[in-house]
Amino acid sequence: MNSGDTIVAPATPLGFSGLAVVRVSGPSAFKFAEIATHKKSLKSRSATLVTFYNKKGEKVDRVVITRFVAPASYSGEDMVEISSHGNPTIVDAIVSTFCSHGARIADPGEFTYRAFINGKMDLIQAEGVAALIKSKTIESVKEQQKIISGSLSKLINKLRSKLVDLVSFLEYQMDISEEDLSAKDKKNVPKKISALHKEVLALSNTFVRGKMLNLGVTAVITGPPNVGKSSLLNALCGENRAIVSSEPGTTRDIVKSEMVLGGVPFVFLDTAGIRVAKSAIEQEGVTRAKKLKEKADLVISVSDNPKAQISKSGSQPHIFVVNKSDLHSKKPNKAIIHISCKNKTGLNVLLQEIKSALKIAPISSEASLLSTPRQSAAISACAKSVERAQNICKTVGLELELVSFELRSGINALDVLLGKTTPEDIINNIFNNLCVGK
Amino acid sequence: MKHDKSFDVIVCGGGHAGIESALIASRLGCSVLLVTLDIKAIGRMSCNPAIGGLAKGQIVREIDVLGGIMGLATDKSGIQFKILNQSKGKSVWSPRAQVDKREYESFVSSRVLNNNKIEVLQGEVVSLLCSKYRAQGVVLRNGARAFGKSVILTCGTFLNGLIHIGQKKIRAGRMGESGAEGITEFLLSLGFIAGRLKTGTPPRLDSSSVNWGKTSTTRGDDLPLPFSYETSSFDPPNVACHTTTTNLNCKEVIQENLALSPMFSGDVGGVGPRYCPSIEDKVYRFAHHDSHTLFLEPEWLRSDQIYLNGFSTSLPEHIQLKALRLVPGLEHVRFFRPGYAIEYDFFSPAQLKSSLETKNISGLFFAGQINGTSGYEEAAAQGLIAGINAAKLIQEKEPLILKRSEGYIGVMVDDLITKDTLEPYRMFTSRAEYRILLRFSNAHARLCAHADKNNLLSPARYKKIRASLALIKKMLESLNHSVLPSKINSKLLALGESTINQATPLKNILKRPSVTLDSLALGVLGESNKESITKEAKIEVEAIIKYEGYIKRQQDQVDKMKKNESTPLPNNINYFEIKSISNEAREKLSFVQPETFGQAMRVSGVTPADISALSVLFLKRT
Repeated sequence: MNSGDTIVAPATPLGFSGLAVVRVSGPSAFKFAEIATHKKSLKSRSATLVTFYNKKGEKVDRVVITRFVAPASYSGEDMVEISSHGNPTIVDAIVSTFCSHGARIADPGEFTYRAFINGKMDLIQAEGVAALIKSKTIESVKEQQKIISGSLSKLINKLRSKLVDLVSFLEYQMDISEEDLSAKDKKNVPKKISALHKEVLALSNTFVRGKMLNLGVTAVITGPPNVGKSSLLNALCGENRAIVSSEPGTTRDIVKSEMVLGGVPFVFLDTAGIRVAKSAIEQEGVTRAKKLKEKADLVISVSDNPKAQISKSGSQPHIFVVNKSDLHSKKPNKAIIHISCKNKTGLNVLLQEIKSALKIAPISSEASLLSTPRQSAAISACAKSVERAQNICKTVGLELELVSFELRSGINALDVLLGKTTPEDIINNIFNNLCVGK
Repeated sequence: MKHDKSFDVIVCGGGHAGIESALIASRLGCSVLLVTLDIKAIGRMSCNPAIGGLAKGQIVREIDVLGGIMGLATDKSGIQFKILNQSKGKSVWSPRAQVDKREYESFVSSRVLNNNKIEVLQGEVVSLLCSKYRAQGVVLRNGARAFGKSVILTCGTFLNGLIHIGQKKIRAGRMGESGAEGITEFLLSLGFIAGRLKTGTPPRLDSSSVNWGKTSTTRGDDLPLPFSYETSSFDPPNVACHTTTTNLNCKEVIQENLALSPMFSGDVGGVGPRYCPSIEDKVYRFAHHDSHTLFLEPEWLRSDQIYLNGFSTSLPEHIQLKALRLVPGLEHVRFFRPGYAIEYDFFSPAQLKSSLETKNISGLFFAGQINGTSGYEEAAAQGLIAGINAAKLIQEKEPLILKRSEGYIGVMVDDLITKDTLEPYRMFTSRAEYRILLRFSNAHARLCAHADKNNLLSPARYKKIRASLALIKKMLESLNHSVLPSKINSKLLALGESTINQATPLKNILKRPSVTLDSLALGVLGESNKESITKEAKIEVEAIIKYEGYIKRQQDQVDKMKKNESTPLPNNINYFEIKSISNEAREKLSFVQPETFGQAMRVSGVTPADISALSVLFLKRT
């Protein structure tokens, strides 16, 4: 925990809600906030409504921002609190924007830790904060130290051991062995690093699925009017969420339906019928629909014409569905799924296709997936270090102390994640029990 | 000697640490008394006939830049010079020299004996004169007393030394020399905490009994580099050194007789080094290796005594012979002296301040193996620091304390006073978290300012150091110039590198892995290649350019830690009263009494949370 940094984190739990709060604390808190809101000198201790922009200058949200000048703040440092709409994507964008300007995601309890360090509260008060938020955890000391559970932790420890073995070998070569590296070793070292890099990268890539499990998937349903998108939504989610009528243009707003598929929380968004808008309201709907489509994890295009052209845009998985198969003869076409909402046929095939497009496979709760941004950041940092070690072998040559330096950085990233502290340590427990952002 | 004479500094022990202490203190204007058990044994090398090596070579260089003698003595007596780790990484290049033991000892010994500020006395120090926790002198076995404003203990392995060969036990400090009894007991009475350590040594072989034809040979570097900046003309011998390997039969003999080895069977009380293990340890622990390399090192040029490096042992003599006679080249080997283990007292260096002065008794310094280190170089470096700081104490000046980022000597002293001493401390490059910054070729850049400020250097040495630094600077400046493709592309192609399209700064080209300053051969430098100062400058310049990114990253780490390293902790904190730290932290911190937050962070058992608690209590709030 380096108190020279500026830290950022959501202070409210992830999920959909009315409001979300993001906290920033540290020497550059004001600077970063001013850049992000395009406002010089925000008023102190006063809630101001501003627009928040990401690094590219795109608008993220209209937010309420409050500035606290040190030491009159929670942490005792300069702080900014931002209240935005309670959408995880918005919160993510706000946090990422601060990170892109140079802030760092806070460690669990780091705001409260800084408050303690800056003398804003003593340990009894700090314990009180923790107790307030999570009353269960202080009781069982052992449980408190579990940052990761079960097989994921085993996997990370195994990875760590391999890195340590390789570093030990390198140190032996530099510090004990007076002989040159054998030709065999000269080939093996880069090979071992490559293999380790692949492993770390593979683990890092599990965050895509892990994040899905944790935060859910957004799927957008698009298509021309009156093809049965709303019916499809109802058929999938089993409720009359949308207004179904045969008049085009009845779905004006974007209708949201939720469902769990293969253990993954899904949010289906049914967008307005795409056609030339005749009114401003319709135009707004069309614009919103386009934006959502870009950001979705999955796009399902619906048509009722089996001969419709398949056009794919965007990089995410895309499924083409032809509805009302009861009204036309099925021509087998692998790229298209034929369904009939009315007769409820083809729906299972569609569900399977959705699962496979997003690579949702049956997984146990103990599976080794990274599921939080903290885990992902640590494993990515490790992967980067191992990659740099690889590059040293390729570019500079087999300079062992440089390779060792990078591998040790990788090990350090894992150690931070594994939280190498003793369970008896009460102070650590207090701060680690608080989530990121507290 | 006249009874009751008074000196500035009294050094007890004439080994590698004692010599450095005595010489540097005298250089700094102090009157010195050196007490030694045997005047003829000043500077004796007890073990390996070599100076330097992995990580140790860097220490010898640092000793030289701080005014010590070890580097110069090595240059004068070296019979083979080699830089180790040349294929393993620029910042871990470690110079090493095989030396002629007699030449080495004669050189350092005469330096001491011919120094008119150093009085040498043959005798045994049995206790110290102390008053109100201040050292005031020493008392010898014959009753004579000598007064001193400061006392440096550099007794090596002589404190209650006990030699083991098989079942034989001999009270001694070194084979053939009596040990010292008395000081330990006196120090214990003053409240110091002692421990026992052990170290092994290999047999000395009769050269005429070795079948040299069956051994392999290695030679030193063709263009050797001297250790010392004071060395002007340098044209040492390049004597071949021989090796052989043990085999399965030899291994079996040792395995069958492990129980007869007191060092291995636990009869020897002290804890021994893991990394200089006895052959018994090697055979037991590396059981899957059927052979180990043995180095046959002559004790001096054309000596008939051969030191068998790699075969430390305390097995009975007849077993040592039986095992070795199964090794190629040693079928008819005879010993001048069998291998033996020695057990000795040491004092936990956590009882010292970072100046090497003891915390309990002011004016009393400990340096060398008495602190639980192993190795000549480690001892010499401590002796040097203790000598400098004894002089500064007398002159009422602040002590010289090197940071971990300034040198291996800084790393070693900090490790000694901070970490647990469970086994003899030997320097490794991996002990230095800023290893990439601590190269043998930039010791002068790192430490010259300290040397200058403290007047540690002779004019000749100082001049050469400055010249080297100037040459490096000049080379770096010239590498900022750009070169045209036409002038360099053919050379790049010859090296298997891609060509350039436009004028490129030379330093960028030098960053490519297969490019060296010599292969650029642009006459950019203009100096003769034979000059060692040039060869070294090239090594350093290549390291600076090729490692630029990593050097910067390490320097950033140093800068980040600076705040912690310079934030002091008050003296005499009662850690047991602090409720917000763990039990283990209380014990360890009480024992170590760290001087700074940085040091506290390195004490084993202290967690980040403990540090936070301490920072709340002891840091000023703004």
